[in-house]
Amino acid sequence: MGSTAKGIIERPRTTCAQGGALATLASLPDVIGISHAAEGCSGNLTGSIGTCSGYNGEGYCGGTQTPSSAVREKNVVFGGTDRLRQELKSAQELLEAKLFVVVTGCMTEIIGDDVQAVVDEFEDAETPVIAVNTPSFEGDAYSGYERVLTGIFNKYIPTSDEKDDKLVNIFGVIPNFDPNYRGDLEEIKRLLESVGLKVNTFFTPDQTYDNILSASKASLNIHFSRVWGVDFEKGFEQKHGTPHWITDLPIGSVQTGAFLRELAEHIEIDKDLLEEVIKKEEERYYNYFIKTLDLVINAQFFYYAATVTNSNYAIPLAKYLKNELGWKVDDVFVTDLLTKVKAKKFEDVFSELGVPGDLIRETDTKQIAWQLNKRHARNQGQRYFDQHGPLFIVGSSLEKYAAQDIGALTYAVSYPVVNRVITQRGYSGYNGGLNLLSDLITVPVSGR
Amino acid sequence: MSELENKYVEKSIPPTREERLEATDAYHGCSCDLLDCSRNCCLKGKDRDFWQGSSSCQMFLSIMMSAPIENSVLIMHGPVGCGHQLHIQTFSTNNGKRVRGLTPNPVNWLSTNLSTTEIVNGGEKKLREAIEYADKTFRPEFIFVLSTCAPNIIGDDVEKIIEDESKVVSAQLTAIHCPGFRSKYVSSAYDAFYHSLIRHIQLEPIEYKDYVPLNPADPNATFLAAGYEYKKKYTVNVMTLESMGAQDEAELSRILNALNLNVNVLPEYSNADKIRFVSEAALNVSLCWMHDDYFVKYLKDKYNVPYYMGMPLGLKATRKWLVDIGEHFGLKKEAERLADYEEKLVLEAIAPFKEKLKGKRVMISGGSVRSAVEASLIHDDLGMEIVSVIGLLYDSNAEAAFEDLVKDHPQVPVVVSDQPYEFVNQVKQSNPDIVLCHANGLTEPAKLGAVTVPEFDIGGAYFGYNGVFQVARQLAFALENDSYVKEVSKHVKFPYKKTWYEKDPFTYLKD
Repeated sequence: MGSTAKGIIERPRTTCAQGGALATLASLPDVIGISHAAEGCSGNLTGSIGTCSGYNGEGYCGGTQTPSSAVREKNVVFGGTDRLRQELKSAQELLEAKLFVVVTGCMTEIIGDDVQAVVDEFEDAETPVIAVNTPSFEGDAYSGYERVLTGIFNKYIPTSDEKDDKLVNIFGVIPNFDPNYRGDLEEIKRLLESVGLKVNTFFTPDQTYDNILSASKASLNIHFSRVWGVDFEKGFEQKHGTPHWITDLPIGSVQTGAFLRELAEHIEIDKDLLEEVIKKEEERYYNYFIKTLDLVINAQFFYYAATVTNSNYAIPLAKYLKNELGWKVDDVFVTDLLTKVKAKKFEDVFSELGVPGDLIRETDTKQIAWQLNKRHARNQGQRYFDQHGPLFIVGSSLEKYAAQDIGALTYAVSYPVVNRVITQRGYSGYNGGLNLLSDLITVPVSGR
Repeated sequence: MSELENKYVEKSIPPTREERLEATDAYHGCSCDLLDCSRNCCLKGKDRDFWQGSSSCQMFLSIMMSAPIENSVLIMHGPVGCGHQLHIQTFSTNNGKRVRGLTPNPVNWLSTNLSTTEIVNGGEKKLREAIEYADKTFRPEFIFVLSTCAPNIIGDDVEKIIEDESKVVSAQLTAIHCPGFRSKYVSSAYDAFYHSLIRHIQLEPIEYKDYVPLNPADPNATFLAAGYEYKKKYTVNVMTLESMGAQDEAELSRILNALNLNVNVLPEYSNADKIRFVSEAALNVSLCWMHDDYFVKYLKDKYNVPYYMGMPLGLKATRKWLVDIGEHFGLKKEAERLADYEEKLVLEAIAPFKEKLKGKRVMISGGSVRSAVEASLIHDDLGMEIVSVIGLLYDSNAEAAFEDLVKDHPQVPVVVSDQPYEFVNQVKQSNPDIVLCHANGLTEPAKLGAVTVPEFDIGGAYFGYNGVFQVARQLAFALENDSYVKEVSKHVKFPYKKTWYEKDPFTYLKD
């Protein structure tokens, strides 16, 4: 929680649980999320989802097109289930989808609408309907992601007796709240396929609804989040018997090589092929990487670094900056709203892995700015002063003002990203490492 | 007679549009029927069997109204999600500040982050802490508490907290009561925002801060007083809309200044010092019938300052606006001469564009008032054809805006709808050359391959004579090259079944 005051958050970098849920649903193939809330909830979220993660757009039936029960004052007094029932009936007639997922808002949760009962009435409908409870007072966007995954994969899709020993599911990369999610997933998929695996990413353009259904056949779930969706993975393992491996999204050559080798401990891969792939990828990677060496070493583009990201990116990003770019990582700000248990777990992993920099959990934007200011104090007239600068803040778009105040460079990789457009760009794997290299080094040269 | 029947102002919670006025967000017919219906109160109760959450809620418009005010802090009283749009609003607000010569700053805002505990036990304690923290940390001039759905259902007494905490904090503290579920009309936010100003914000100049009282012994006192009164007599407040950019402000100020009137632009992009002078004017001008009536009527009741409402969009409406205001100050002839002169200039300037635009079919959608008034600009000034006029929502305040439309185009289809599925169907069926859309609402027609242009865009020029020129220019430019939308539309997948496009777009409307 923020250090501001008990439980109050200044400029939170998240939305409500429904926001995370609708973002997730908007990226799933042939699945439509239906908001059971006031009309404004999904309307407002259009901006936060479609805009704040590098202008991702509204997708197939998200954003302003999201069906909504649009409950009014009378529904808040007398109940909103009739309105939801009618909405679902119309949606069956009007919309083309393989699955409808109803997600709730605060008002319908407070008044206690029995959404499950309404959904059950549509058992024989053309398009199946399920419901997921997503009240914002119980969790934020990240928990919305977990809840939707649990609803679809652990409760809805049927189990499968046969397992495909080459098939893996990827979870933990959170649509929109990891703004580069599509590019990140595509690169992971590319790498896993190159070592002979089949991959369900669920959220990339190549995926279809069949990928969702086939998730139960997977032999392994790779989960790229230390804190979000861990319980979902346990549930998945219980229901479908698929084991899970929790790790960090690899960024750059060093981490990706290690990731692929560790992967071989969790699923059967041809070792020779694996080494061959790694060798080939590394050769290509460093061929390009070295092209920037002349610039980097001559201009001495080495920085004190602070990262301000969600927990998913914090660890791999800090490691990449230290191990590959040779920067001195001072501060690793993690901006998620974590419970004590989750926070403890993350802190333990952070120290176990020997991640560079001090871990600082802080949700409040102004507090982050102040802490950065304090930790990277400027010379105030001392004759000799070891300033921890030049500083490079790799954070979100919100760090722009802190960077201006301190005189630091900054680049946005974490939600909200509003100062650049992300299409297919990712930072994971070998290609991602090169992308991040060029994006970060572009910042100091962009004024030339 | 009291304009607002002042009862609303005494209440802690502002009325919604549906309580105060005849309103609808689900209508289709012709323009004359809409007015009849509005006057005979048959709009209420219209509904749909299928809704899309395309509209924001009154909380978002409350954010839009309060965020641009300088040196303010917004406290979102609700669970953590409410207010996330401020991440976007900040850059729009900062653009607005930049072009007005103000310093761009991040909008400081807090969420009381209500959790299950507070939903059960009440969130009042957290709100008090947030207010005190905001005051201590940011030292703002204003603290706006935006009270969202959850605290309004569980019954937090926000007004009581405002009263108590006002004694403790140094900022001017007020609350905007804007729970989304209470009103289906986002325009309720305008009233909620103005209500918050009326209830708790200083609207009069302060002695020794804003002025030094005249010394009666001073031999010049009478002259000074007369001088001030003269200045005030020719001062106009123009009420801002977030949808009005700096270019429009400059254009309207320019033509009013040409009549020797002093212009204050309020309350957005202003600050506490400027807002205190809102009561020191001879006329309040609202640019939209649906926007400011709550406030200007209050100012009439309280300070006896008359008001004028009208949207200077297109030559006809701009002339009327200018001449009416001129007449108020006894400057009718001057205003007419100015209008003659300005019209001559702009007609020459738009002549080359008119060639290109002539006869093109335009579907006008966006705010009801703007769409209705824009019809004259499109048809009379630019010589284009009107396919239909679509307003996102309607209330009886907009009647005045529709009068001309009814007179000139009684049979033109008028729709009140903010639903993308209905919109997509209409665009596909009537296949217009150009679709005009509400700012940030251009997505769907563009995906269909239609040349889509904003009806207004925050920061663009639309009002006054410059507006006519810029709209003509923008439309002609859009027609130059449509390959972006044409190419991309081949690859867009809409979620609606094929059968939908064969049905009446208003299949799901019900009375």
